[in-house]
Amino acid sequence: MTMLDPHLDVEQLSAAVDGLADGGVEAHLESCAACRRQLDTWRVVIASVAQAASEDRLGADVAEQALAAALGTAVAAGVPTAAGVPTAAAAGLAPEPSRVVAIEHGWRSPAQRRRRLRTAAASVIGTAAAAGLIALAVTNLPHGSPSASKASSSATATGPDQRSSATGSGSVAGSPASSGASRSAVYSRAVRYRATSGASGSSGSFAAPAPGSKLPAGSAAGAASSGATSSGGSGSSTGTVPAPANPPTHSSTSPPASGTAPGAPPEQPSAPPHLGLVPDSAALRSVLESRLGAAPTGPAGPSAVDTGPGSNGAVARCSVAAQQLAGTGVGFPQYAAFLHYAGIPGEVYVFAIGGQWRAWALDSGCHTLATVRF
Amino acid sequence: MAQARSGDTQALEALLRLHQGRLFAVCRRMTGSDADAADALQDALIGVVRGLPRFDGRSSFATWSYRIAVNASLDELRARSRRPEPEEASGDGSRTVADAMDGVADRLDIDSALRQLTPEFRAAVVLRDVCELDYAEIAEVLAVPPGTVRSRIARGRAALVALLGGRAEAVTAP
Repeated sequence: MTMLDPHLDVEQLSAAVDGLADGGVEAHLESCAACRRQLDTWRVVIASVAQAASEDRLGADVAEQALAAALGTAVAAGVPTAAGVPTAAAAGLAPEPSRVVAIEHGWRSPAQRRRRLRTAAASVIGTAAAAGLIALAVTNLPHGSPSASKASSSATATGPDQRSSATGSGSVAGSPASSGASRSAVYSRAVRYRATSGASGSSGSFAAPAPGSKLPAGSAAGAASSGATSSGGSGSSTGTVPAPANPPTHSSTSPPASGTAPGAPPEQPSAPPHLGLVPDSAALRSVLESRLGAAPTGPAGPSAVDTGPGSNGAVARCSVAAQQLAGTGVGFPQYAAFLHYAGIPGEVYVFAIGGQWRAWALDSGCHTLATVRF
Repeated sequence: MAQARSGDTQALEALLRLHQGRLFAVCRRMTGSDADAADALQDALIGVVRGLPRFDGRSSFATWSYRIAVNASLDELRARSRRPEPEEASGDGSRTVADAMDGVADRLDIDSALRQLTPEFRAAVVLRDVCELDYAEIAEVLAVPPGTVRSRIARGRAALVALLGGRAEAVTAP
């Protein structure tokens, strides 16, 4: 290539920027000032792109949220974990609020916020339901009350993989519509919760462990009836842990996993379920600690809670309870429950970190719906 | 890596922390906004966690995770294409590299210019000029032949030069 040749094309210029120009290109550059200027321009532009990237700052909150979601997914997906707790990722949150409230909603970008405005009402309901389900999950520990045991006898059993659903007053817990097979697999070992209520009263339904599972009487099913005072679905808080008005029913057969139980009417997003189940933080913490013992104290981090595989303080107790709850024997170190309401399938994780109970409510895309502490 | 794959949560967290900065850089350049990059990063980290048991080590972890980040970014871009573009994210591309020397304006210009590339070209340029992967690695990440990578990089850069190069020419003029 010489001055008599055409100027360098974009691939030759690009190769020259990368130092991959062949001899002909180099020769041309030596003799063509125009191409040298063009190459200089390319280098400045490319350098500016790289420079801008080097100035990207990953915010600590974004980083921690992403880590928490990813590590939570690891547990939900059954990725074996030694410690099982996203401790450091969950550590630097805001001070404990006086009530159990959603402190961070999942619409992290303005665009997403706009996109989801159409479902804002449902989202709010979903967040409230998440908090309610957290409370529900918390009260579903394997130390159920006698009333819980009683309720368990009428709980619809699911298959061993926990993928089926239960019905109560026509409500259904099924696979999230947006869930693919992989997510179904991911969730197959988690206990699913579904809570619905209507104006005339509430009903709770959830997937209970299969017969013969490790679930002791009164654990999962106890969720539906544990607690003493129900404030209904009005959203008021009583400071206790109310229960759905109607405990779920039980059958010995396990329908296949599906979004709708046979004969059940299609689900419609309805009034916020179990808003009354959201107690104040002190009450919820009290429930947790009465069931599991005090949350571990000291600085957040594995060293504060780990005493060995399968035994890391309160988290280990959570794990035992979760195993029993799910009836799978898999060492879930958290309580897992599904937020499956108003078209927002999701899951809730509750665990103790650094002396606090923390919970994440994630939608089916693993976007954080809410994080709560208590 | 081995510890993370074997289920050591601390190792997994350390691994994610080690790489999330550069993954964010990819997501940031690919999506053109902090918010979308945050979404893409979260999805990417989740993808890493889920895919880690299947990571066979034939490629480097960096290359493998870049692929996940690029795909997460492309997914985010596809999702964004289905919703209105935020006003603050729009740009007319009229600024040039010279303004760029002014920090934020620079970043906005570059974001704007990158957004005008097709995702395929953008990914190639970002992987080359931000991540500094070689052509073979980019070909592996994007699952396209090296020749395609070379072409995409060249055409993507040419588009950037057309969008940003006016002032750059002035900067480099004798």
